[in-house]
Amino acid sequence: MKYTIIYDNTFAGFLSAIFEIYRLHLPVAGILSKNETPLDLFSELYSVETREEWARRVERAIVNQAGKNILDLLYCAFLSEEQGVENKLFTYIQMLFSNDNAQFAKNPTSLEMLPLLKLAQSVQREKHLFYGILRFQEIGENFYFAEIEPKYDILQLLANHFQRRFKKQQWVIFDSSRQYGLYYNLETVEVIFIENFKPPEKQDQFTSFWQTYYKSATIEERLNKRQFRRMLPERYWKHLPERQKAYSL
Amino acid sequence: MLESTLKKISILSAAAKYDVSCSSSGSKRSTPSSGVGNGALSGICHSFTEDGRCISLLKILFSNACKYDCAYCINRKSNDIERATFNIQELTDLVMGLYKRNYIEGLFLSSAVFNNPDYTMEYLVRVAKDLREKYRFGGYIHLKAIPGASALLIHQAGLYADRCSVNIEVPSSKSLAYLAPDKNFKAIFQPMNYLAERKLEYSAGKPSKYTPHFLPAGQTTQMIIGASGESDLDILKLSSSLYQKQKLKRVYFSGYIPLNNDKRLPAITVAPPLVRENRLYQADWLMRFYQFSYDEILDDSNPHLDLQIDPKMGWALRHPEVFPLDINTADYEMILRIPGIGVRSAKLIVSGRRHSRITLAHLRKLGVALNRAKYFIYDPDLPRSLQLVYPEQIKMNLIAAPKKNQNQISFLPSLVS
Repeated sequence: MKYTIIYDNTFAGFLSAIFEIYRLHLPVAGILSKNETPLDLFSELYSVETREEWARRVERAIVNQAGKNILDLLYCAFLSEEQGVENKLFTYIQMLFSNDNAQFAKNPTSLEMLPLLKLAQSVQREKHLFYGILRFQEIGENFYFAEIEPKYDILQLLANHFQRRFKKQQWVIFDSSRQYGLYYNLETVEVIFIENFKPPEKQDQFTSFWQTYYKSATIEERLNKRQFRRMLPERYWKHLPERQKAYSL
Repeated sequence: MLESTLKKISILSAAAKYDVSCSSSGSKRSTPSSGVGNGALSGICHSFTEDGRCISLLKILFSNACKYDCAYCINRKSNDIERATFNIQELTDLVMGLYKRNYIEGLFLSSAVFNNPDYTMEYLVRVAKDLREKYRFGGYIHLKAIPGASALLIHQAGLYADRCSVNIEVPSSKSLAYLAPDKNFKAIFQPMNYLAERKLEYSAGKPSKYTPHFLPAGQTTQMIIGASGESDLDILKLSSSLYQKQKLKRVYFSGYIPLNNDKRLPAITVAPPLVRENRLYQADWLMRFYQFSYDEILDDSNPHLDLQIDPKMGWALRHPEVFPLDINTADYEMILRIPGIGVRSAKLIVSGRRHSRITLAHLRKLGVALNRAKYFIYDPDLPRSLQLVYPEQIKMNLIAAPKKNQNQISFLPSLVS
């Protein structure tokens, strides 16, 4: 009998699942987050509870085997939320812990690593894009708010950058498609949940400054819509004031 | 304030947009205590205009009331256009407001020359100084060094800015004298050399706590392509020497866009030479990241870049004796020279081949452009005699190959069959 392992959708949950698999020697058919519907009729479901200490232990084991960079890479690949990424990660971790090949962790071109590497690169690329295209609005005295809808779950990866850059202003970054956000209170960044979220109406004068600037910075003689859409895909226009008109059309 | 500022933004950014430099990379200034903003080493793009260029900095002129009359420039004295000039407070407030909302990575400040070069430069320096000292601004500042300004002001610009640039604009001193009678090469190279020397001086030896962060992101320049008669070889030769002697970080190329009706310049109906500009950038990349020298890319017998194929492919086709290369044994430098393999793939190949043989199937997964690379890679499954490189044949194949995403759908084959 094989088991489909169900975990709670977080990275710590996923690592706890790995821990349970090794602790109980479970034969694995697949790993699924609890939001997905299991399709495999021939395996039994097994729910794993999330325990921080288990997650830490698996993390430590990965770092010992392969180093911090690989752990970061696995985390980024996990954030892609791609269907079936858990199984790819599990295959990789299995190879890592199997000790069949001592050099395995150092080979970036192995068939287990390459898909994860590509996924992690996509996630990193989107994170970097959001360093740029995230837009704050001043909604109170020294209080700034930004709404984003990224393709991957990159919100956590943004915290450090914006904390370092805007350390003297309070800000909230809210991921409205995943319904959670980050709040920086001038000291630490904490995760917040807003129920019945409504975007703030107010627009300040810098929005119109920016729209004017954006319009006059375009060189008409060199228009290249294809390149433009490749650099700034349409799915990101919704929260960019300079693309508002194009978006509402 | 709103109306007049809006108008100034519109006039002065439209006048600045022909400066192509937009990068905000190369500086990792940390956020000043009780201040705002830092430098991101890789640079960050904050938006993209519909011409496909990135917006990273607020690229704007301090003033467009110019006293010079350069043929190629939209702000020249003899043009009848609206003129505007910022005041310092207005501009710094604008920069800080936009920065705090994460619209921009910093400021790119240039200016037309009003009154005299020193007078203009002093304004630019004062804007940078106010941002750094009054607002404790740690973001990116790119200042133009105005040719003819005094060494003292140029030095101060280097202390406050992350990057400075002096535009060469016309790539030979003869054409410059013809198109821009108020400028000369000597005045352009003077601030450039001065800044390069100071940067070298400050970076010598171990930095003490008193060593200033002098131009952490170095210098750049820009040349206009297609306004005067220089060959691609002249342009690459000049940029290569700028990289080596003046230690520039980037040389930008700007395809000439006819803005003024001037009999010294190409007619106003001529389209900007975008393909040539692209090929020049590719050649520039070869010099900066692929360890090519300019005389490997072009020589006196063919002084122009081939517009149909990229310069790296051009080199490979002129050197069939080097190929096919075995990617499992060749040096990193040689793998970099295979068309279709970039820096990232080359590094992956070199680190991956220590563990297992790299095959063509691997390469496809790594993201190598096999349609170009396949002619130049040794394939152990084929006899050597079938793997000779025939440049004419390859070139024909490459040019004839249908491009992806062609808009037109052909119904002919189905009708014929």
